[in-house]
Amino acid sequence: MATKQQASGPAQKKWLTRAPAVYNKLPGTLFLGPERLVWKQEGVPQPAVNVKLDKASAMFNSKEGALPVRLKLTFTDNEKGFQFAFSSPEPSTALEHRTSFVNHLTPLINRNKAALLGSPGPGTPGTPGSGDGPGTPVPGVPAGSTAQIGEENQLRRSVLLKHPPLAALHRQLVLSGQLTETDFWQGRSSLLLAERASQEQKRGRASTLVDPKPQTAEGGDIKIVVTPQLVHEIFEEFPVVGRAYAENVPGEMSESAFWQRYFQSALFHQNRASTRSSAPQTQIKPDPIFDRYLVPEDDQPSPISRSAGGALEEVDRLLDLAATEEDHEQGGNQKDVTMRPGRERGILPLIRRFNNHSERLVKASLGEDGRDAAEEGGDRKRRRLEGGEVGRFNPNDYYDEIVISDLIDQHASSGVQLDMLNASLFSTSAPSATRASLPQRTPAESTALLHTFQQETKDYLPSLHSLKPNRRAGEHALQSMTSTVRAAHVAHRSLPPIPPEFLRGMTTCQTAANEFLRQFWGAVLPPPSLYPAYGGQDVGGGRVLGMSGRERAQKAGKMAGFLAGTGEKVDALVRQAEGEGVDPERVRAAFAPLMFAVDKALKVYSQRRKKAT
Amino acid sequence: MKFNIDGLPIIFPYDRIYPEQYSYMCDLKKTLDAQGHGVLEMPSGTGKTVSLLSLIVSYQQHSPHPRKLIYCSRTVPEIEKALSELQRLMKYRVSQAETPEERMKEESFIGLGLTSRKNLCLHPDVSKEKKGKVVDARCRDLTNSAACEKGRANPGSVPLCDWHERLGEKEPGNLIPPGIYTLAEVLQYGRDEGVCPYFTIRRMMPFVDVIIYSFHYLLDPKVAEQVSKEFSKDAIVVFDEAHNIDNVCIESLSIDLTRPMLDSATRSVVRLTEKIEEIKETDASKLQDEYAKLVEGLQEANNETSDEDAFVANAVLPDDLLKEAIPGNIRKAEHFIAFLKRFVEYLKTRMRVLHVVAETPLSFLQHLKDITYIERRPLRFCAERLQSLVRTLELNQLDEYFALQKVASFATLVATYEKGFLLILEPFETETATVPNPIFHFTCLDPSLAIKPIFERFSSVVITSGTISPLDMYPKMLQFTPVIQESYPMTLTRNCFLPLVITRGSDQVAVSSRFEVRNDPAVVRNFGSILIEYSKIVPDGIVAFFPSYLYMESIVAAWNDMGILNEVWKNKLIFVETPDANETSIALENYRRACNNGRGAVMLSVARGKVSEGIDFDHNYGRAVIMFGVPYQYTQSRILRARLEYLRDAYRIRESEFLAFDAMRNAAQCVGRVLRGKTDWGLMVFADKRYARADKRAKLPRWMNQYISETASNLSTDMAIVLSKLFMRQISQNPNENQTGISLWTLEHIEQRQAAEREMTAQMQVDEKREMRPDREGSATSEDEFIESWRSSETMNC
Repeated sequence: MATKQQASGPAQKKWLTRAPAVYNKLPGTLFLGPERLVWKQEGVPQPAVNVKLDKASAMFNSKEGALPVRLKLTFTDNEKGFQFAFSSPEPSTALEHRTSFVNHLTPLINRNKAALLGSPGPGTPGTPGSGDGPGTPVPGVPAGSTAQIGEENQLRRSVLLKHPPLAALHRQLVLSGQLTETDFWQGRSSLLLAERASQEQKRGRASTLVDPKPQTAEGGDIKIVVTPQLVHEIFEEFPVVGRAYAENVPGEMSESAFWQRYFQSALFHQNRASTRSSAPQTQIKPDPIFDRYLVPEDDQPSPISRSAGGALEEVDRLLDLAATEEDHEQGGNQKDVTMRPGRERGILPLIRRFNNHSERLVKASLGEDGRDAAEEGGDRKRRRLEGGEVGRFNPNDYYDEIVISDLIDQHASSGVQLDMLNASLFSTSAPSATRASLPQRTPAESTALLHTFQQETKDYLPSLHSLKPNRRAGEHALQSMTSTVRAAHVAHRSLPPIPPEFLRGMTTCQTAANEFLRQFWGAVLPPPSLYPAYGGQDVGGGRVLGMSGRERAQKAGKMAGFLAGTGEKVDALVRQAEGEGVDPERVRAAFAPLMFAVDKALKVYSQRRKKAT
Repeated sequence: MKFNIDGLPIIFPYDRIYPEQYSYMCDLKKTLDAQGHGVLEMPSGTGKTVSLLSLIVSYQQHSPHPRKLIYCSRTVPEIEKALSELQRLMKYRVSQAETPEERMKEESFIGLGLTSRKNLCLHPDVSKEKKGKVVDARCRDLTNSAACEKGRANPGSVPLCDWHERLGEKEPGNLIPPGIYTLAEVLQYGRDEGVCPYFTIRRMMPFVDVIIYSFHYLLDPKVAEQVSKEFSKDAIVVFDEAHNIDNVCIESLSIDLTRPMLDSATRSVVRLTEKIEEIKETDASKLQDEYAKLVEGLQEANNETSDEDAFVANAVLPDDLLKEAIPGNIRKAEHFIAFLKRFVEYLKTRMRVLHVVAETPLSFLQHLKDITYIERRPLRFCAERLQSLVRTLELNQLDEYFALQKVASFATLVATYEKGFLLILEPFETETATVPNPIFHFTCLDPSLAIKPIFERFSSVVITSGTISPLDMYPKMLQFTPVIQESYPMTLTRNCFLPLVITRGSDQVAVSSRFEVRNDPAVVRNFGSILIEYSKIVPDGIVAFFPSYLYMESIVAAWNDMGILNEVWKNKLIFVETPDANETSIALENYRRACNNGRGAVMLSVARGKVSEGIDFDHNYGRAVIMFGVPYQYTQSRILRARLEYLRDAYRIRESEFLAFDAMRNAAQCVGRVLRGKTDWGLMVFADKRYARADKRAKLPRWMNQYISETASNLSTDMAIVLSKLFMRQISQNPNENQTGISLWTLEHIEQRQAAEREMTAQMQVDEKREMRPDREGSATSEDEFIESWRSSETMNC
């Protein structure tokens, strides 16, 4: 078992309690301090186990009277945990030892649990999580509380764990200190965003119906295992059972008696999801307590809730089936037997249970007030009806349902402003000229201009439509392409392979330079529009995206510096290639596109600087 | 956009148009121009309603003598949607108006929808009533002219409806400002102004340009007489979603009588007798007046009927008959009551028979005459005579007389029609029942009877739907000659729906809802595994349809016991259609919320059921529809058998042909509900081995059938899943693919098309004169040029 953390000499600490204990089948001694748990093997000075207790999540004891006396401790970051057996020769002493450990550990674990539930960031209770408010951190300022940073780091870590190549790049650039952490993550905020979104997704409840299946044990006994989970589900699904429990336990009967009688009662059989396999009535003993809670079967064509005098529930008008039934007097002959719903009385309660169960689950995931969720048309209408007759009916409510979106021209765009390279050249003369000329042009002239322009460009495309590739030309082109590819392939095959070590060096150089290029362009190009904040929260990347102009310039400068060094690195590789027995020209050729890109970037950078000065 | 069709300027409230919509509008215009009838089938979800309204409103606004539009739909949600479409269209038209006069004209356009009092009532007590019948009756008590007269003369003596009273203060014809109102908006207007929405609409009906209501308001003679009699002959009648129109026709002329109803009718007769005695003592002159009027003829007697008074009308009597005097033996109130009593007693006696009886109206009348001496002629006037009596006696709480009204309508119908009807007495509800529960079915077998007056009265009747294939069936069944009969294919740049036919499970056992095998565990399990597999791979919503309620209920129970539903629960929530409409609506709402929320859900419902009519499952509300089995009707039903026999004898429609047609139109209707627009997508799964047969599939609408590939027409579950996955992977890519020009047209495309058409007609005219000379020029030179350019570009690349 690996040592968790090497710590300074535990001997100086004052131990709360200690006892002889076996760990991993080795005899030794277990020490418990106020913050640490330490186990030392007999005769070995270094402790084999030395863990901090602030992550301890749970503790398990072996059964009372069972030998050996064991204690298991798990941690939030180590679910397997550690298991110790108290090895005092007397079982009673061993038990005493364990009790003392347990007594000391319990408050610690409780505290940890409370901290975990109370605040999202471990160890910093009270600081608001980033999800609490939509406040946008001020750009450029090392913003956010420690909890926020911790969360951010957590996200980054999980992203890196999921993307090994990215992790390699991170190691190479950030851990080596060439790039700062912030720089590295700039422009990768979408990854963080996706990670956050996936972490924030809560797993809903399993939707299977609660239907405890009896198992047949030996001797023909029927057994149903009651777990706390099952109890919870039963109470939720059948509030009446919860009521029965609250009213009768422990006054009338004990808990186990309650469940025993429940599973034999008519109430249980009424609640079962099965229709065919339910036991015949004769087998069910009348139960004076549970039978009080029996409700009549909901097997009438209209549900019990309404036949008792309840009004029709308001529904979305476009789903209102009752309105159609009431639209005109139902005439005509009776429907044939197969088309009369609800003829099989036994199945109706089951169907109603399906609908109610599904409704409950939808509500559970949307929340009771899910109806107020503004994005849903139907609910809006409903809310309006529920809240009295507020305001005038908004006809647009139906438009979502009737408008065919394909037929609306959505391609009209506002256009992108052209960012000209040497804008200064034009800025002196052209704008003033246009500005001067603009007012002189009347609308009619503009229209005419547009018209002539359209006329001129109108016949541009049609020739493409009538384009008919000729077979000969096509074949010729394909052949020449094939032969080029083949020649390249042959040439490539004849080359000696590059040693893997050297190839790795090349790849490293390449990815690093790529990253620098990315960072450079990220700083030079206009910032992308902010990602839509997820769920109204600010995202981690927003801060980085919103860099000030000066920061951007600084960064661009820094990256340009790195890029300028790329040439040397490549040259070094080329020189090294000779030693490795690789044709230097090949290396140079391999790096040519990269160098081209680097040159381009540097050129742009120098132009910008010139313009700025 | 604006464009012209043969000189008619059309304003279409979108920037683009589907080619189908354009062709649909062209054909619709031809129908209207010819003043004839049409049958048009347009793919579901391609904007049929908006094209229809856009063309007809353009037509109305362009013509110097606008023809009124009577637009009929099936369900209230569909009516509401159509009104909303119309509203959007008119808003667009107003915004596009070029001159102030045009703007005025568009703004003064009136469109309203009509539904029952139950759906529109604002009276605090009356609107709480659960049954529409009771709402109608109570409303009548508060609003009939006699009560109003008394109440106004002596305020407080008779309870009146304030909302209705306030309506009288307004100028007739100007009860509501011009514009288009959805039903919800009329309700809101009523609340704001304190006026009755129902009578606002009813009284505005002579002034509207468009009225939208359900089929029954035009087809059911009892209702049509009250609400639709004033429309002029040149009105345009549209039946939208008309694939089930024959059933509505039949329904509106069929009546069921049961023992409890006859008992209730007897009680009503007794009460009427008492009432007559009472009135004889207090106000005998009233009965005298009535007698005098009845001598004059029925129509005069019923002439001053206002909307508020009418309670049961009968339009089946021909006009000349209505002018005739009522037969002498039922003119006197006491005599008429005695007559009714005798008739009810006769029916009760007939119900005691313990074997099934089927007879024609003629034989029924003969037997009636032999036993009770009741003649056919007075019987025909039964419903009218009862109406007159009820008015004379100023009866309240008419819902209590409902059974008697039914008996009277029955009497009138049975004495009016000789052909196309059958009386069937079924003493037992099912084959196995031992306790008699007799039902006397008076069933209409010929759908053309109810719709005949419509075709005769109105010059243009358009029958349209997404699924009315095969088209020729409708003119045959409804006995009319259309000028245009067209089905439009769906143009798609990529297949946005994938129809699949699953004929067997992964274990190669055939699946079918055929009666003999439908409860076979292997079939049930295979159906179940289709649902499980699709619930695993399809996002958001899945809708499943079953052929009948009986089958759905039994299969849900079986699936639950087999643990199949437990598997489905793991992936999606489950909602099931229930007998109660309101409960099902709530389930549907929750289903939609589960789909919006991403949780995903399965909706189990029934073809021909409540959900299959008028609820859309577009976009995420239905990424897959599964049709379990073929929704055949229950062929053991005596009524259906009688109808089949009639169709065979009268119209030479074979039984099997009609059954297959009926099943396929319902299946198509179910699966067709997944699409709205061409960027929407969905899977359509037909799970039954019988769908593999080409003759079955040929009955599907053309736009659907054209996309069923040979490979996809005979699949096992696992193969279908593979295809579905592949489809979903493809369809989830490049959603913004440019469809323009192929499945989506801009104004230029329309103009191009029109130019091409003009050219073609011109060409055809030329062709008639001389033979076409083959001409091939131009292509050679361009080819050479192309090679040249190709070469030069190549050298550049090298």
